[in-house]
Amino acid sequence: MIRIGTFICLLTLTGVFYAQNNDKLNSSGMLTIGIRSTLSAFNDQQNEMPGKGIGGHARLRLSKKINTDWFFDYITSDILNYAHRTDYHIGWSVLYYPLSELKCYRIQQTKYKPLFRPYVVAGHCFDYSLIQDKADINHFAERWSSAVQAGLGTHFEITPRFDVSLTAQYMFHLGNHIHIDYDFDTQVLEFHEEKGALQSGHLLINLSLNYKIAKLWGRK
Amino acid sequence: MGKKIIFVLLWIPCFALGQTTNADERPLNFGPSLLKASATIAPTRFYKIYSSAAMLNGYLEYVLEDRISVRGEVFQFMPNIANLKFQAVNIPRNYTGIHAGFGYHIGKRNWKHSIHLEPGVSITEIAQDNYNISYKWSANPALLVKVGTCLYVSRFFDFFAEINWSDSYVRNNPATSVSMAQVGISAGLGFHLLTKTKK
Repeated sequence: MIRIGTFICLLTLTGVFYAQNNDKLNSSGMLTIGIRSTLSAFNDQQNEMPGKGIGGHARLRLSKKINTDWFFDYITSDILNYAHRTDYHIGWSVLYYPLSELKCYRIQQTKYKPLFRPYVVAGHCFDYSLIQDKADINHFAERWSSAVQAGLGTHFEITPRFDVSLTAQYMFHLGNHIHIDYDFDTQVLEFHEEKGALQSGHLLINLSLNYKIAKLWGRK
Repeated sequence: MGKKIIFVLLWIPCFALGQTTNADERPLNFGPSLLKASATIAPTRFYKIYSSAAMLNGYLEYVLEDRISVRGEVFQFMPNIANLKFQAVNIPRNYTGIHAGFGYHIGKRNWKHSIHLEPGVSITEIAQDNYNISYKWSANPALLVKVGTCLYVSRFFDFFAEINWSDSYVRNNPATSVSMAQVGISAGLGFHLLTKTKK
């Protein structure tokens, strides 16, 4: 059984090492634009459903191992059927490619084969949250805050310039927290602001489509 | 006389087969730098609110590489054609879906099959009560996935057929959030142009 496993591993590795890529497109100065769809799960509010959102980003590569991501997200979610929440994120992240020195990412051959490029991501963003009472949208609470996020992801490089990326990261909000109390008997909704840091957070899963559009420096 | 007729009948298929041209000699109507556009009416089913409608669907697409394209499109709800069920709070009076994304194309020279993934925004006007007294607008995150096929019959024209699925939620509804999940079909004549000539 172990021998079969080893054999499969060796076959897979061979496949990886024979995969080809255009190395120049993954070096310093490459600008990528992308659009993304976001799922926000495990939200901090009690009874909050997973949120769905859209966004966009630009990636500017600093080296073969380091990329930067400048993003915007717009996410909405329900808090059961008595309130709904809207979040706007604008921020930046650093992507680190730990495996970028592998042979498969350096060898350039004539025919391109798609490959995965995993990364570690961490960054910071500014955040605006708005929570509104469903029965009366003029009854609301809002918050400006800052957040930090970190996680893991991978590009699936379908062509030398085009990739699909999947990222999962946890976002910690650093500012005040809006707490909701809802009385199901009287159907009264109350907002409370709680001071302190790292009181709330959520898991963000992004699926993005990206295209390398320009090499800003280091063309030669 | 009979022998002559048989002789002619036997020779006709040979001449007919002789007319076929080598596939490589036919002009290639699809490739990088192709700009294409079309507008059509898309019958659409809002399957979570049990209602059918027609959408005016228009798109603009640019082929970046042999297999990759970037595309933007609009779906505009045509309200007077809709067959609407349930109470008014579930039914949009106006709906516009604006999407942008990428497509992946496979297939033979002038006959391509594609899949598109296009995040976007749905702009919806929906009733706030059962009596249609007040309506509210909202802009909601949306996702569109479409699969289709396209036959590039000439330098400028193509025939396409696509199945569209999209989803978004109207959250500012007083009772509960309403899903705008929908499946539709777009088909028709498209127009395209290779913007760069091959050297």
